[in-house]
Formats: sequence, C-alpha cells, structure tokens
Amino acid sequence: MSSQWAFLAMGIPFFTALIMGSVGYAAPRFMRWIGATGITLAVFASIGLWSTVSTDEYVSYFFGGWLPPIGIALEVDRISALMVLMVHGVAALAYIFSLKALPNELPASKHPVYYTLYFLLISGFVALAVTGDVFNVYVLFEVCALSGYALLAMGGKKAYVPTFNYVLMGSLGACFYLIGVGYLFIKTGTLNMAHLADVLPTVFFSRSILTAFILITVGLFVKMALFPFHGWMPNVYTKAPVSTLCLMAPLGTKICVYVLLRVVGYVFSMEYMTNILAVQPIMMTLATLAIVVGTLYVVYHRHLTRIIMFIIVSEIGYMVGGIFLGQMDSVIGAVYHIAADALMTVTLVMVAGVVRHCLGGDAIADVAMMFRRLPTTAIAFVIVCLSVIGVPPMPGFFSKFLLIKGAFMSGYYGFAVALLIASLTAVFLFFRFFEGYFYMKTDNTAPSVIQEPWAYRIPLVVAAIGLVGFGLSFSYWYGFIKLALPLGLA
Amino acid sequence: MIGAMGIYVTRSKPNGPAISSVVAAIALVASVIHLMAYGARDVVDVVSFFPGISVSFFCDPLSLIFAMVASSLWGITVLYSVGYLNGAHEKNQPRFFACVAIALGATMGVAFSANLLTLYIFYEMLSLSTYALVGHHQNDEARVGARKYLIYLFGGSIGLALPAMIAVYALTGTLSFSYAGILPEVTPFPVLVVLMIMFLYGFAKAGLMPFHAWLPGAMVAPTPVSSLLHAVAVVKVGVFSIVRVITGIFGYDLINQVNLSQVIVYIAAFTVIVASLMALYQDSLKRRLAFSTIGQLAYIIMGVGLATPMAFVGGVLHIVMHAFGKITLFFCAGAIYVATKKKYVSQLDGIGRQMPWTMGAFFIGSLSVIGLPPTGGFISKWFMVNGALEAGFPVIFTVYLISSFLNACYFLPIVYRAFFKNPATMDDVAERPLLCVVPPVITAAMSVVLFVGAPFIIRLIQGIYYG
Repeated sequence: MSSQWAFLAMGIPFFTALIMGSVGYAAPRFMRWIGATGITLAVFASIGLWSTVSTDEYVSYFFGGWLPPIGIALEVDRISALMVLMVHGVAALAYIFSLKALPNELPASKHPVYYTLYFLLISGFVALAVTGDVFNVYVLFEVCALSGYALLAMGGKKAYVPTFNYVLMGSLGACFYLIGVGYLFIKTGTLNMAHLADVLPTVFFSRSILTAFILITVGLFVKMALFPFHGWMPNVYTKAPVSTLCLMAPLGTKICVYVLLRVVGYVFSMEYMTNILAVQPIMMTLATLAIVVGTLYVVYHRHLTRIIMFIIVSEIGYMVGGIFLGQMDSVIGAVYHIAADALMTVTLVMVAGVVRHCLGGDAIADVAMMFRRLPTTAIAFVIVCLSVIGVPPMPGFFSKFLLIKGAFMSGYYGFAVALLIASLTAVFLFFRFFEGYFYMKTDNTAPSVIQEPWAYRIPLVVAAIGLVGFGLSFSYWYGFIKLALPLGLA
Repeated sequence: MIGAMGIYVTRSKPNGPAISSVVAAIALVASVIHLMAYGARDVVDVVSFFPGISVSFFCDPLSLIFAMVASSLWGITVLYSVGYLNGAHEKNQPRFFACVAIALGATMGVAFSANLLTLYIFYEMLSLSTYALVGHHQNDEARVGARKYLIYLFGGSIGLALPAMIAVYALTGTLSFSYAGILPEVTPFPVLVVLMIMFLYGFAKAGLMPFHAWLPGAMVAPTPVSSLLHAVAVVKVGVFSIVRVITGIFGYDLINQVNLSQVIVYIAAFTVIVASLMALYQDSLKRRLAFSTIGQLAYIIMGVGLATPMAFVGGVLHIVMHAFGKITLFFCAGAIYVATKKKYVSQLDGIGRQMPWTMGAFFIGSLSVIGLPPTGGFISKWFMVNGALEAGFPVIFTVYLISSFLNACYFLPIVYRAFFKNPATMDDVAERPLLCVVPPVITAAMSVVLFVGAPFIIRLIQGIYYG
C-alpha cells in the first residue's frame, strides 16, 4: 500500500480535474465541494507519503507494474516528499482563498473550466516532484505550462500580451530542455534518472554530455525565471487573477528549482558539476546577480504584487546559489528554502489579494491604518515579512543562515554579501509598509474596520501559523532532508 | 526553571491596566532574587535547531546582575509611566504597556541566553517591540526617529552581527558561551580583528560611534520609554551582548594573548570623548542625556575590553550604576516636562526652587554618572580607572579622567541653573503628579545605597572573572 501514496498524491488532483470538467457544467453548485474533497484527499495522500518516507526513506511506484526502462516510474525520496507536501499544502490554502477571490474576478460561467485547469496544474506540479524520468519531466512541464497559460490569461485583456510572451519564453525553455534530454538519450540510451546516474560517469568527458548539461540548465533557468531570464515573469504574474497567482507564484518557479537540483545533483552528480565542468563560479555569479538585481528592482516598486514578483526573482537566486555551492549545509538550506519560500510567497500573495480586494489597491498609500482595518491580514503580513527579512526563529532565517555559512565555507563571499543586502533591503521595504499602516491616517469616509471574509482569513491564519511552525521545527527538517542529499557534497 | 522563567516573562503581556504590569514586575524581581539565592548554573535547552545550536538558557552572575537591574527598574518605571502617561495625556496606553512588557521579556531572554543564537533572537525581538514604542506618538517626528532607529539597529544586526555569528559558527561549530572562549587560538589575527569590529558595531544598541545616531533620534519616544529602554534595557542589552561576545566567544585568554584590547578600547575611547563633547552642545535635555548615555556605554565597553580583573569589575559594575543614575536623570527630565512642558536646558532657570525633590534627585543622579562619591558611579569608575593603569593603557586612563571632567561640565551647570538662577517667569509650578516624583527619588536613593552595597556585587563579578 505504501507505494500507492506516490500515485495517489498525483492522481487525486488529476481525477478531480476530470470530474470538475464534466460535473462543473451540469451541476455547478457541487463544484466547490468536489474541489474541497479532492484537495483534502490530496493533502492526506501527501501526508501519507511523508510518513512513508520518514520510515522507508524511499518509495518507488511502477505504472502497470512495468519496470523501467520500459515502464514509467515514480521515484519518491524525502526531498520529493517534502515537495509534494509543499505543493498540496500551498494548493489547499490557495484553493480556499480562491473560493472567495475567484467570483470577484471571473464570471461564474468560466469557473468549471478554470477549476479543471487548476487541478490539472496541481497534479502537474506533484508529478514533477515525484517523477523518475527526465523525459517525463518535459511532458509535465508542458502539462503545467499549458494549463498555466490558460489560467494566467483569464486575467482579462491586459493579461493577453504578457501571457503570450510567457508562452514564447516557456516554450523556448522547454525546448532547450528537451534538446538536452535528446543528447542524453543518444549518448546513453536511457531516460530513467537513476539509470542515467549509473551510466553517465562513463561518458563524463564527452562533448555531447557537456552540451546536454548546458542546454538543460539554461532551459531550466528560463523556466524558473533566474536572472537574466526573468523578464517574462513579473508582467505575466501581476496581470493574472489573484487566485491563479496564489497557485502559480509560489509553486511554478520553485518546482523548477527542485528539478534543477534533481538533474544537477542526482543525474549529472555534484562531482561532474564542481570538478569536471568547474561551472561553479559562473553559476554562483548568476545566482548572486539574481539576488542583487531582484533586490534593486524591489526598491523601485510601490505595489505589493510587483514587489513580490521581484522578491521571487531574488529568492530564486538564493536557491540556485545554495544548490551550486555544493556544500552539505547549503543544499539543505536551498531545499528547506524551496518549501519555506513557497509558504512565504503564498502568504504574501494572499495578503496582496486581500488588500487589493478590500482596500482597492495594494500600493503603500492604500494600506493606511491596516492594523485597525484588517487585523488578521496585517498580522499575517508582519509574520511573513519577518520571515522574508530573516528574523529568527522564522524559516527565512534558518535557510539564510545555512546559505551564508555555505558561502563562507566555500569562499563565495560575494554571495553572502548579496544575501545580507537582500535582507537589509527587505527590512527597508517592508517597514515602509508598516510605517504606512502605522502612521498614515485614512480620511474619515473609509470604513474603520473591514472584516475579511472567512475564505480569506482561514488560509492566512493557517499560513502564518504554518510559517512559525515550519521555522520552529527546523531541526526536524534538517535531519529529514539530510538523509536524502545527493552524493559528493562537501 | 530558568527557561520557565523566560517563558513566564514573555507571557506576562498585560493587555490593559498597568496594575498587571506592576504585579508581573514584582513577580519577576522575586523570581530573579530566587535565582540569585539558589544560583543554578545548568543550561536548559528549549528548542534545538542545528547540531550545536539551540535556544537555551543558563544563569550566571553576569546574567543575574543584569536581570536584577532591568527587572527592578521595570517595576519603578511602570509606576512612573502611570504618572507620566496620565500627566502628559498620552494615548494608546494598553499598547504601550504591552510593548514595554514584551521588551522586558526580550531583555530577560538576552540576559539568560546560553548561546549567541538565543541572544540574537531576543535581541531582534527587542528591536521590534521597541520600534512601536519609539513611534508611539504616530506623528512625523516619531516616524523619522523610528525609521532611523530601525535602520541602525537592523543594519547593524543583520549586516554585521549576523555574518560575524555565522562566521564564528563556521570556524568553531558551536555558539555556546564559555568563559574559556570558543574561538581556536590558531585563528589568524586579522580575522579576529575583523570579527571583533563586526560584533562591536553590529550590536548597534551599544551606540558606539558612528553607529550611535539612532539614540538621540529615539528620544522622540515618551520619557518612560527613553528612561527604561534607552538608559537601561535597550542600550544595556547592546553592551551586555558585547560583554558576552568578548568574554564568552573570544575569551580573555585569547584577547590577552593577541592583545585585542587595543582594538576595543581605542574604538570605545573615541566614542567616549566625542560623545561627551557633543553632549556639551545639546540644549534639549533629553538629547543631552542621550549623548551622555552614548559616552557612558563606551566606558563600559572600554572597561570590559581592557581585559584585566579590575577593569572588568568596573565595567560590569558600571552597567548597574549607570542604569540607576541615568534612569534618575530621565525620570527627572520627564517630571519637568509633565509639570511645566519644558524640554530645554536653557528654560530651566530656577526650576530647582519650584521642584526641589525632582532636582535634588537630578543632582544625585548626575553625581553618580559623573562618578563622584557618595554615589555608586564613583566605585565603578574607580575600578575602571585603576584597571586602565593595571592593563598599561595610560592613554585610556587619561580618557577616563578627561571625560569625567566633561561629564561634570555638562551636568553641573544644569543643577546650577536650576537652583541658583532666577526664573524668567514666575509661573505657578509645583511638583506633580506624585507618581512622577517618587520614582526618581527612589532611584536616586538607590544610587547612594549602591555606593554602600557595592562590595556584594563586586564579589559576584569577581566570581565570574576568576571562576
């Protein structure tokens, strides 16, 4: 039974999507219950998977009983289980949030197709986390991307052009990745990750493998919006509906970072990356630049949604840097940060959504007296900001601690400095908002207390508690991730 | 037991009346005395984070002294706040008392931290809770002051102290305080110097120049905040953190071995002199007190940084003495403001005749800060001055003497004005309210009592140095 969790975690949202598509038009009032059931079951499946890997460390599932390299395999270790947990946790929060947010943004006639795509996207994310096959990764990228394009474009006319831009960039990234995989297949005759890891060392010095590495990493960089390939992201996300944003912004880029870790750490191996290719300096430069540039952009924007987008750009830099530092602690920090950042981003996006819907805008000028007017949102915002800044004992502090330590150990001081600058900028940035709602007065016409609807309040409260809990339980996750790390870390 | 105490303190956030603050303060003082009687030295781990790092508390004479000072002064300040806030018609009192309580809880956390990470956590908590206090008035002036406060404190702690802490962890694999020091002796000298400087400036609450500008800026807060937090809790937490780093991370053996004292004392000496000179030119009474605080904090760091038994005793003792002396001065400044709305030194002509008790307390407080008998400040300064000679730093010896002279120059004219000059206008001013007058008198009396009772504290401190 235990290996079934891996399939269930992926299958439940998939079948929910199918049911949604058919039932949604016939009996729209059941739709939200079907979705709620689906997401609840999916969360249970991910918890089941988590508890399984806590004892067994490793779960494999073969579709139809066909063993690889012929059949399709799902391979779940502790890191993928953490990712599954993250995807379903965030999706559940985002789903509850969307119950209230979506009717504000889309006419009811479009809800069935919206939720069909929504659950398809969730199942795509989960599948990316559990797949054990490099070609399937490509297929799943397309599953996510195609449903994602549609969900983003539902933001209305202003969303069309940025979404089209994203279609181009996303296809390009996927294309690069696919060509890279093609090289791997020609050279080794296999697409299974574990099998590839066994075969690859014999051909490490081949130029084709080098080309494959470059194509795959660049493809992934485009997909995850690492600077300088980030151009598509801020525009498309700010124009999208908030409900879509809650799902895409936390997960879309993070899951690509996870795939990068899979491919670089497990398929190519850390040794190939650091010793044979010696690409570490280049990658670290990119990561450092991503952090610095993201931070610089953040300072120039006054709208929360846009600020969040550039925070994502710099956070991607954190994680990529952590992976390529190749230290044990830094990789743990990066993995932990993937999950932590997903939680932080979803909270931030929800806050931005609430502020947009309840106060009419998300600029600093709109948040005056928020402590009085939207107390729950304001407190959740403070908590998540502390985490982004990196104040202990929030999760953001621990990942940053590990990343900086890794940077010190391997001598990339620039990366450490960039992380600190990002923290300091975050202080500056968020306290502009706090000042806004602490010092600015509203005119008397504005209502003094706006009660958030329950669909906004519940996910915010859960996310805030989850953040604190995730930070306090850090030592557990440290040990949990440590056992699944790729080989060859310093 | 100690951990429970820390939690107890942070939980005791009164959501309304000041009475619960008073009760909590008394309970806190009692528990600290209890700890003092049954000095437990074992480390209590609460939550563990990394191998070698957890949130953990312990209790040694240094933490006891600091906790005792902060908690007893908290009680007095709460009494004073009631008088002040009502007298000055301040708004949002529940938030005020809640934030003060959280800040005190964080201070206790710092006092009992057993490792640098725990200390750092509570340090940040203190910055955040006092941010709301500094900006209490919620007007533009408060906003500027609060922003400056935040930029300096977070800039220091995240920009300098955090990387230094991580570097220490990377070098040693632990962050627990130990009087033997945890940094290995083979650490290259430049690394040590850089780390030391990062810690000194990183804990910007200690106000070493040029990281001091937040302190005068933070004087926009209501006076009870200035007095408790900016004469006692906040700034002393900065100094206490530095003392912990010097003694617990570097260790005196290492410091004496590579002569790291030079770095510390010259940085501090610069601050002492410049801050004293700047204090001379301040007309706003609270700002003058703020600059005086900056100078006095640097005294303590200088004393501890000299790394001799005498100077160490003097430095730690000065944490206590200065706390009582300076809080008296702030209380008086607040009492004057409540009674007369006067903020500037130049307005204080003849006020001593109208408010004899307040200005009498002010006189005692300033004696203590200058370092003259019969007040506690004399004893701590005596030890520090002798320590400077003992350590072979004649320059520092001179710095102490010159700055004492400067202290006298900026305090005694105030007293002179108050008692011997004729007031410009004879308006009807009386001492009021009662709760603004009694606390400074109590703390002034305490300064004198400490002159007599100092040997007890000295024995405690010597226990640290030799034990």
